[in-house]
Amino acid sequence: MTVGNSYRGDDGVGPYVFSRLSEALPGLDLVASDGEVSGLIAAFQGCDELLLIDAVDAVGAGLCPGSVIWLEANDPALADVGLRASTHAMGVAEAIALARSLGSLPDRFTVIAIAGACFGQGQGLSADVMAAADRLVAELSGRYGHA
Amino acid sequence: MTGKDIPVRAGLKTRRIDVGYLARVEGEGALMVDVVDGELRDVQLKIFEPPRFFEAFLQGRELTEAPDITARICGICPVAYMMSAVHALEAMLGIRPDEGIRRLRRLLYCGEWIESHVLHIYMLHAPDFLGFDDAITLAREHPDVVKRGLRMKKAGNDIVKLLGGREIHPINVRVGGFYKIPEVAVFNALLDELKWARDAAAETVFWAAGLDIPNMHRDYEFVALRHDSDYPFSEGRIVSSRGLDIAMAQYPNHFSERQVPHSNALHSVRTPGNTPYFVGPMARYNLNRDRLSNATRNLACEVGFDRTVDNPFESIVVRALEVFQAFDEAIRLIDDFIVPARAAEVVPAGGGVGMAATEAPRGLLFHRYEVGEDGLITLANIVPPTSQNQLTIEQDLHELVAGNLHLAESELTVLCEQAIRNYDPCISCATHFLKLQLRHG
Repeated sequence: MTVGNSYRGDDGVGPYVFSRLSEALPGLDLVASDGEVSGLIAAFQGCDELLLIDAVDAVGAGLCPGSVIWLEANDPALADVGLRASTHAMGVAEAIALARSLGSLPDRFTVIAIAGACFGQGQGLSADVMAAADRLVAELSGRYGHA
Repeated sequence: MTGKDIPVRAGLKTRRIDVGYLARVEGEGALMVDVVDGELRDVQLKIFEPPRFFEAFLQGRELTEAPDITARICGICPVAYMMSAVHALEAMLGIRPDEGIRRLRRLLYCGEWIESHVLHIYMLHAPDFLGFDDAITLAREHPDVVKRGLRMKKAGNDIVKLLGGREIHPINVRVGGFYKIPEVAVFNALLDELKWARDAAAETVFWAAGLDIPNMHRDYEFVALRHDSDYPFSEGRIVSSRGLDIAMAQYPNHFSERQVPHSNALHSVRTPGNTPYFVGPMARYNLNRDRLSNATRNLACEVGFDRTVDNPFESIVVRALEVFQAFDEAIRLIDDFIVPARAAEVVPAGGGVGMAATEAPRGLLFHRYEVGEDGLITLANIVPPTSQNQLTIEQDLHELVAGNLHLAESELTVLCEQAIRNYDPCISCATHFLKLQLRHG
């Protein structure tokens, strides 16, 4: 699952990865989300294993732009990493917390956070973020390419 | 102003309730209550979010851009902003879309009411009534209730996504109609889920009516649209519970906005008396109960709501009834689908003055535009429901605090937060993060 808005700079890294993975791994079960909570929770249901790819604000998370961190959904650091929130202050972190309360989190749930530098209006990723996204697509293609 | 600034005579005890920040996303606000020697002196709902200048952004833009620009004012009720703009400009230009477009607009409005109301009922307001800090802790104890709410909300999202192009900030609405009309079969594919959701909405009404609801009654002037035959979305006259009955274009003659030092949001009042009034689900319900579907009216009777509702804490039940009404109408609109003759009417050249009000989930939303003959907007005025309710919210809080000064700090805070959320103001998303500070003189 990828999350993001391709019209808000580096927040578009999720949609970018979605597009690349769709080409590289046509058999993979991929979902693109804008981060709306009820849609996220509905998508969580019925999954055995879920990888969720989203942008984080590098400054807020204390990371260099282009850094990629992998977190399990039960990692307490998830609350501090600064996943981009959707409208009305509820976003991916809140959706995960709510799904946990509801007992509907997938057994294996990993959040892959890519640190972005610019979240202003407009399309296009910054160079560090695009390079990180390309490396991630290559890694996931190697991992799931023969699944 | 701080606690030290309160002008009091020597020897009097002062107490300040400082409800810090109603912060993040759709608005930033705070609540300040001053008590001197056991007597309530002042209540101020402060909205200190900086002005957003949308009315200025609209100046010099093509009139056809107004729906997409105003949609950005709110992520929860963009349809209302789009439709108020569309109706105002269509009234100015004499455009009258056909019945097929009219019905699709009502369907889109159903989707938005469902999204917004269900979010508020289950995620924001229910934790107050059940004694939880937020929806996440509520979900631990009542998972089936929260799951029901999330699934209902998603059903509303699906309507907006289908007809608007996406769930948040739709892109398919234009002056004259829509950019594209989806195939009938795609609407029919929603029906099974909508029928489940209508049943779930009925369960929600019974569940909400069974909550422990605080008792408070005030004599409000309710203001809402009223249509000849339908429960109001975007057509009809503006009426009030005190006899007002005017065309939409008369709105500026009977209402005005004024600045107050403690808020960046304008306060709306009825003129000439400068009195507060009440917009939103309770106003719509009280003024339009005879326009509800038979199924909704029967449901209201079953829970004892076949009456005027003047307790703002009962707004959660009224919202639930409106959710049922919206699902009921959405199903009917799809069952009786009329394919529009064309996706949109031609927008003729020309200018003038256009005004319209529609019923956003939170209440009456008024737009007024002045447009030059070149089609460029020269002036825009937008009056959102939250600014219209702000004075009424303050007066509710005044009465509530005055009658409950004996309560402990934490209890009074919860009551104040709950009372603010009765109106589902755009700042309500953050009111679970309030911090209360009591100062004793």
